[in-house]
Amino acid sequence: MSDCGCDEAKKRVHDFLSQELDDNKSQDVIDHLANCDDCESEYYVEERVKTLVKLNLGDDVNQEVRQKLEARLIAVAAEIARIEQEVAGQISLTENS
Amino acid sequence: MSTTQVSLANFNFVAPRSARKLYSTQMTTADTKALELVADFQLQVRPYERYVLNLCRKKIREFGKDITMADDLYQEVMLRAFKGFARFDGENIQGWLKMIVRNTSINLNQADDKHVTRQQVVEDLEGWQVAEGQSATTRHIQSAEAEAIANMGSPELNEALGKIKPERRKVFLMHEIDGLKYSEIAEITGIKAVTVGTMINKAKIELRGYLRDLAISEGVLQIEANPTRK
Repeated sequence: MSDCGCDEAKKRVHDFLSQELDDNKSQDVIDHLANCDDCESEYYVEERVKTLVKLNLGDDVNQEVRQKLEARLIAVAAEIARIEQEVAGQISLTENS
Repeated sequence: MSTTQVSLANFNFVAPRSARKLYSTQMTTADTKALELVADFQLQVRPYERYVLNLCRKKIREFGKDITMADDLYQEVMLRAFKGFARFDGENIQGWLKMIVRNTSINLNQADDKHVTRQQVVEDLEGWQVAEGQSATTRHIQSAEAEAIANMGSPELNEALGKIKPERRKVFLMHEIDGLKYSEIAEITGIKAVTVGTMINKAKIELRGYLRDLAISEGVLQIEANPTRK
């Protein structure tokens, strides 16, 4: 490990990812990561750990929300499909004229 | 009239009344197309549902609103994502969804303007293309360790989490899952904010260590492939 600020950057990476650093300190971390492959690699590992936690823990979407959302998605999709058909119809009309 | 080739039953959810209605009547080509679009979308975003919900809760908390509103925000985000989905050609769905949560929550305070415009959907897509383009240049830096963790799921995570001291684990999860800031956790638990930060950091270091051990024991990671020990 060199004295290029790696120590400080590695210490701060987690707080940086957690948005617990002020703007100046965040910028210092960003600047360092841009110039240090070692720390950037560290940053990605940290990010992966956080992602793993966020993807797998916490409450699941409840069934009622899921169903409400699905009904809304279907309504939107039906509208999209209807417009697509209309447009296709208009194009074929233009081609035939 | 042709019958539908899509079966919602294949996708592990109960079809709501609107879908059952579509079923029970004769299906037009447009109806079939609509169900296909929805089923495909649901399949693709399923692994990120918790992630999106966690983010929504965090945003709602930040705005100081009632936490039950997170479910509404979640629906708006997914609807907005759905509208852009056909044109989304990136690899990182997770990053794109995160951007949509951010963009949607900005509109949250302008309650009258809830309707998602075409312009907004395009902004999500274009914004994400830029972000993905910027991060693509640095992707090669990803280490074997990052790769190994990326391929893990909840069994590995739970095993590793189970080894962390309960009090550390508790604040770590308050931070990561509930999205609470160090200062907020300090207020709730009565522990000093600096100490909360230290506990969370230690929990994270331990978690990472246990995940690395798991990856090594499963033969996914070589012992020397550790960029931190230079």
